Amino acid sequence: MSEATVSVRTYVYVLGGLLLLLFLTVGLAFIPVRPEHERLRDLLTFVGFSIAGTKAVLIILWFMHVKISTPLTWIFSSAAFVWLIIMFALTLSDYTTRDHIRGYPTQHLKYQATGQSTQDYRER
Amino acid sequence: MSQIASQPEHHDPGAVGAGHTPHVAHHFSDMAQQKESATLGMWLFLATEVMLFGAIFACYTVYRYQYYHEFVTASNHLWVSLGTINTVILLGSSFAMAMAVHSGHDGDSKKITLYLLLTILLGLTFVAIKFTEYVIDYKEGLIPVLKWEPRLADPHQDQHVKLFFVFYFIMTGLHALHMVAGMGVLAVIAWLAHRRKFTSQWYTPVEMAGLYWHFVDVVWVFLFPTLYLVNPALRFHH
Repeated sequence: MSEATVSVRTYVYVLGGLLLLLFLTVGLAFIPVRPEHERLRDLLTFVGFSIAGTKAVLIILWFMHVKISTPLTWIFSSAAFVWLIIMFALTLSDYTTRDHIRGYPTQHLKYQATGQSTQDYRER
Repeated sequence: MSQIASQPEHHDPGAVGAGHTPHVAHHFSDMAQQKESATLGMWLFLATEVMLFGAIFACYTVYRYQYYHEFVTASNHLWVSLGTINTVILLGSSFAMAMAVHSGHDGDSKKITLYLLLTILLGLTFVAIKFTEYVIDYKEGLIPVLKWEPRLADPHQDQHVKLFFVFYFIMTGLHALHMVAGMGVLAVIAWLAHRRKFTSQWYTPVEMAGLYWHFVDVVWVFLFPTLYLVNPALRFHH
């Protein structure tokens, strides 16, 4: 059967890329961020998971051969992840916005963890 | 024309139809269609795995958002060095697996066996390091229910440190279980390759096992930053 294949050279490049991204993500995680610079910390977390996502895409496209697969395989392989993204988007859009409603009970849970009182938060 | 004369020579009577090459089952018109069908079936199974792990990741994310500081405290009891080494090992095993499938494409049974054995060896190393981490966790009293030493003075907050470790053991344990199952499958396929059951025309089991192995790798690619890299820089601020 004549079929497309991925060359050994490409596999080596993909492995090299994966290792580079791994060391990058470990390095980024160790950047000291002062507790008051919460936004920068969030940004680093976001970049960290974007790197993980990139690594996953590299593995799926080349190691798992989706890059050279039929359109139907593309649909099957993306479907699960698309629904996963929807689940995360909807879940987080709920939990991360509960603080926006003043007096909503769950903000107590979060600010207990930071040592701030709910009162401090309301005055801010 | 004689029906019997047109029958191809075949080794596996159950899987062969008239006019077909060996290994193409009756209900497929050709090898490409049969292979796509197998690939789609495998991806469908992997989609259920995404749902299994995805739900646990989502639960973890919600709790990490609510108890961020306790989760940082907990995460910083893990060994980032061991986690990083294990990630390198697992990425290496994925590379070996990809090379096994590549050897299948070339029809080189000997190389398939060798690369599969290398994949299994790296997998075993990963599981051994993971087990070592569990032993360290036990000694340090980081295992909820079994052996737990409070990490924070406030018992209510300490519960959330414990919660992180509940997630840690469920997630890494489930992942390790997948590794062990995968190594069992790879061992069988390595044996079949050794018995020269695969050809460049048909090595679908090698490819399907490869899809599974790479998927387990993808799960770890997300587990590593999720559990080990919550905020490791903070451990130097005390």
